Parts: sequence; C-alpha cells; structure tokens
Amino acid sequence: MIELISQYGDQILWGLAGTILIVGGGFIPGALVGTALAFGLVSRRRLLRGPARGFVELIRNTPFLIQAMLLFAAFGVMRLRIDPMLVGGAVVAIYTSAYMAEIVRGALKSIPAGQWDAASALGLRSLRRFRLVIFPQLLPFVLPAGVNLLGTVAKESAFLSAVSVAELTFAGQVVIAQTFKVFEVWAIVGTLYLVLILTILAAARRLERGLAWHA
Amino acid sequence: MLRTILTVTLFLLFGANAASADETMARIKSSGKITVATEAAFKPFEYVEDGKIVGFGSDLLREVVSDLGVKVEQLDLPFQGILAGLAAGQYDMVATSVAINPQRAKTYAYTRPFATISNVIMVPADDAKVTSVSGLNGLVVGSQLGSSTETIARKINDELKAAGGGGFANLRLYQTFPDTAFALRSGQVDAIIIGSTTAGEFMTASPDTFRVAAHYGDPVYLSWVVRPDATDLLKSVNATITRLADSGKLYEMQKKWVGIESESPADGYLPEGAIQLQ
Amino acid sequence: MDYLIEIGEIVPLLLDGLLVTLSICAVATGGAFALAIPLLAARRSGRAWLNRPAIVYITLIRGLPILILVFLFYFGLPALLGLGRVSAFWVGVVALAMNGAAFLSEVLRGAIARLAVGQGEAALALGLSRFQTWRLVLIPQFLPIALPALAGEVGFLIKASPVLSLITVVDLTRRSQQVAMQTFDPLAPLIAAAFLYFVLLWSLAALSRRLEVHLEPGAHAL
Repeated sequence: MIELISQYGDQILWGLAGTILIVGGGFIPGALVGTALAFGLVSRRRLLRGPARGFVELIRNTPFLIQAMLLFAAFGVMRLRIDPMLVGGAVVAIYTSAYMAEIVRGALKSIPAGQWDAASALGLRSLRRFRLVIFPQLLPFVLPAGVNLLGTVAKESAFLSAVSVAELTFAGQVVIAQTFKVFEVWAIVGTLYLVLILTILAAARRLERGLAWHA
Repeated sequence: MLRTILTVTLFLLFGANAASADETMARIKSSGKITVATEAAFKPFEYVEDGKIVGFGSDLLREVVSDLGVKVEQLDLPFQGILAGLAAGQYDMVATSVAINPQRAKTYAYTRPFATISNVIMVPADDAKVTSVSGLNGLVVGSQLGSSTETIARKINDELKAAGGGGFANLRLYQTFPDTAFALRSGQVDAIIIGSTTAGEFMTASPDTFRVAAHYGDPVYLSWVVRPDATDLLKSVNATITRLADSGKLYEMQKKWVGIESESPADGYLPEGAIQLQ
Repeated sequence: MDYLIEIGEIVPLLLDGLLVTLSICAVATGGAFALAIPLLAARRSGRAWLNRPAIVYITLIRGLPILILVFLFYFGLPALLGLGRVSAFWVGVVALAMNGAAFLSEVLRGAIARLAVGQGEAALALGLSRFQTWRLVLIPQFLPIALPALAGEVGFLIKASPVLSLITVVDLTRRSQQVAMQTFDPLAPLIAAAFLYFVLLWSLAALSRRLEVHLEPGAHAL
C-alpha cells in the first residue's frame, strides 16, 4: 500500500486536481446560467418560458452519464478537437444550470410579490432592484441548496471517467491497469472523494445554519 | 455436501496425476459448466452482433467446450480488470484475445496461440505526414486503457524520447478500441496504436477514413488465459487448438473471420520467465 | 429528417436494455425502501449505539460517488475477500439500494419531523395504539408532504442506474453502446437511449404530481 502511494500517488493526485478543476470550473458558469434561466422559468412571456422549461426538463430527466456521452459524441461528429477536460467542464456546467434553475425558481417563488412592487415604487429598476432587494432574500435558500448541488455534481463527475476525461476515477483506472492492485486503488480513490465531498457538504450545512436567522 | 464429496473424489482421482492440483478442472467437470470471461469489443475475434457474442473466439469456444463435454457461461466484461477477475477466481478462463507479453506471463498461464497479429499505427486517410514510428513525435496518440497496445504505446513514447525526439504530445487512453477509432475519426487524436486486425476492422467499417501508417515491433501472439494452477484445463484447451491446427480447421476459421491466415506456433511462444514454464 | 427516422429505428433495438434497466430500478427501489425503514428507526431511536452507526453509514453513502461504491463492490471486494464470481446485476442493485436507503431515510426523517408533534400524543390519548397512530393519523398526513421528495429519490436512483453499464450489465446505456459499435455511429443510439430515459423519468415525475394532488389532505372526507 505504501509503495503504491509513493510510486503512483502523484498520478492519483493529478486526477484529484482534474476533478476539482472540472467541477469547480463547470459549476460556476453553470450556476450563473442557471440563475438567469430561473428568471426565464418564471417569466410571463411564453417565448422565454417554453425553451427554458424544455431545457430544464431535458437535463433533469436524463442521466449524467448519458449527457456526458452525448456531448462527447456530438463534438466528435462535428470533428471538433476540444480538450476532454473542457468538454467535461461543459457537461458539468449544463447539468448544474438546469438544477440551479429549479433551485432559484423555488427561491423566487417564496419572495412575496410585494417586494418586487415595493422596490419598483422606490425607484429601483430591474438589475439594481435584483441586486439590492431580491438577491439578498434569495441567498439563505439558494446558497445551502447550491452548495449541496455542488456536492452532488462532484459525485456525478466520477462518470466522466467513462468518456476518458482525466479526472480522479480515470486516474484510478490507469493506475490499476499498471499495478493490478484493484482494492487498494479504489480504497484510496474513495477516501479522496469522501474527503472532498464531505467537506463541501459540511460547508453547505454551515451555511444553512449561519443564514438561518435571515429566512 | 454431495458436491464436496464429488469434488474431493475427482480431485483425488485426477489430482493424483498432476504435479499441482487443478481444482478448476475438477470443479468444471463436477458442475458440468465452465464460466469464461470475454471482452466482446475486439472485432473480429469477439464482438456483439444483435445482442449475441460472435466471432472467431466464439467458434473456438464452441470447439473447446465440446471437447470438455460441459456447458459454457460466457460473461461480457471490460478488458480492464478481466485478468484480475481471473486471479480472483470469478471465472475459470479468460476466453478473449490476450496478447502474450512478458509482464502478464509472469502471473498468468497462456494457451497455445490461435492467431498472430502485429501492432500498427493508424492515422486518418488524408494524413501523409506519418510514415514511420518517429513521425509520432509531437502528436496526440490514442490507445486502449489496460491493453497490450497501451504498453506498446508507452514503450514507443519512451524510445522516441530516448532518441531525442520529444515523444508524444499526449497519450490519450480510451475505454474500448472502438472509442479510439471514433476519436481518430473525429480528430481528437492524430494517431492510434492498435492491433492489425482491429485496424482492418475499422477500415472495413469506415472505408476511406483511415490508413495504416506503420507497423511496430515483433508479431504479437493471441491466446486465451487461465490461472497457472489450472494445468488440466490448459492441457485440454491446448489439445483442442492443436487438433484444429493439425486438421487445418483453425486456418479456415482464421480466413473466415479475420480474412487472412496467421501463425499458430505449437511451442516457443512463451517469453522467458513465464510462470507456466516453471 | 432522415436522421430522426434513423434514431426511431434504433429505439426497438434498445428495448431489451430498457427492460433490464426497469428491473434493476424496481428491485433496487424495493431494496432501498426496505433498508430505509430500519435505518430511519435507528436514527430516530435516540439510542447512541443505534444512532451513531446509522449516521456513519449515511455519511459514507452521501460522500461517495455511486460509481466508486460499485467498483469497490464488484472489482475490489472479490479480490480482497477471495470470493468467487459475483453477479454484476446484484452488486449493482445492492449498491443502488444502499445508496437510495441512505437518502430515503433522511427524506422520511425530515418529513416526519415536520408533522405536528401534538398529533401523535393526541392519538395516543384517544386510545389508539402506536401502530394505529402511525397508520391512521401520521402516515396519511406526511405522505403527501414526503411524496415529491420520495419520487425524487426514485428518480435519482433511475438516473444513477447507468452505473451498472460500467460493470457490464446490459442495461439501456450499455445496449446503446453495443449498437454504436455495431453501426459505427456513436450519436444516434445515444439520442435514442436519452429519449427512452427521458420518457421513463418524465412519466415518473408526472405520476408523482398526479398522486400528490390525489393525496391532498383536503381530498379525503375526514
């Protein structure tokens, strides 16, 4: 076990770095897009609501692995050479955006209608109104749920190994191919995931409690 | 209880001859069934068509199983881990084309080879730059994770670097051989290192898309794999292959599935240090 | 347009894979519910020797990708314990059930906690047994609350089921990959498979919404 770690530990850590990069790098744009999508979901204009709802339903009703394989196959068919890590990040971003849209939509629904009107009455137009009045009220709900989503996405990212993205699970498979030490490698990889994801989830719980008195 | 008595009895009857006990064979005979593992993603030797595993290997398996006089259960498993599963006792034999190499020979026992292939470098048809192994310097190269061609690819990379060429720009590993072909076709990699028969298959499936740029290294023998202590099983499988080779049927099967005949050496195919030679 | 027809022609080829996926999910869901009940009881028991292991279990499941759990069970444990062959189907079902049970028990725990505490006590005061209290008073009230979350967990189980394709079970995902290798076209079979998954999951969500309305407390004549 010790020699396994000393000889191949760096390969596995590179894999962990890959996972963190892809998950972090995909989650942030995904969360932003998702927030914007949420406004489309609650919009009164059907031209906005329809496609937004269609996209969200499509992503939320298909497995992550299928989405990953589809995106890779699509890029392949278009003969585009894109770094697999970027495509992996894109899969994460797309997945995140749909789920985040639902989270933000739920939060938006809970804001009393009067808030929007009062803000307008005070002379605040849309973006400032959002920034100063609505956004702070969304946070106590969106932030913990969002961080939980980050944890979920980090777990799903393991599926990216099936499309040969250089993340933690794939690194584990490469090391196993060279050493045949199946249980040891998965035990190490599992431990690393546990540390990563439990840290994220603990942060979510901390946020939930910290923001609780706002709600 | 009865099964245990039966097994022990057969063990004593058959095991008395062998220098090492072959409980695998004893169990196969007593249960009337052999369990084998195949990675059905290696046309034309083993692949899936309409939900069934077919290919050269299937025909060979039928012969082996009929000589053994038992039924067969065939599992379709990914290549990565297929040998580890054999060592763990999850099945009796790996009935999938495994290239003989010194590293594997130290841990596993190979049957007599039933075909010979070579390692080739495949590039897109319109690529005229790569004409030899050294042309791979600075390119993105693909191969299958956990296969013998991955080992070959790493070896080539090391040789190129030692010769001062800088080696590959990147080595991309894929879960299956067809994935490498898709990657080459879509431009994700510049070249792939695969077996000659696989290359032939891809070129048939997708004409005018690929071409073989170069061969590398010595011919590669393909065999099936058993655990080193399964000596009786090994003897039986080898006897089947020998029977087919002597009667010429083996070469007919090769022509039927692979398109050309290739060598099936009766001996001298094991590398030095092979565990079954000890 | 031709491409759409091509995809449509692939769908029938995938149906046996869909059947395998359905059976996996059905058995795993049953297992998840079965496991969730004792887990829930342990969590609510107030006794540390029951509560602590339950918390450890739930924490482990929450922190591990299901992929790693499955690889550990299928590739890792047999090598470690020297077991014979393990069935990929059952390894997958057990992993999915264990995963589902952890999340289900937490969902149920949350829903129960939201019930008015007084309800249970009032029922007991009226002479109802513990069992009757649950059956007649508490469950009918928390079921509509819990239902969307429960359906959501089943949905997540279905969305996690492709993990079995990676340990060679010929489910819907693996079937689509087999067809892709046969036709040398990676895209069309995937679109067909995505379509089938979508129909399955969307129907589940629609069913859950229909049931939710039906089970509204107001809908019953009390």
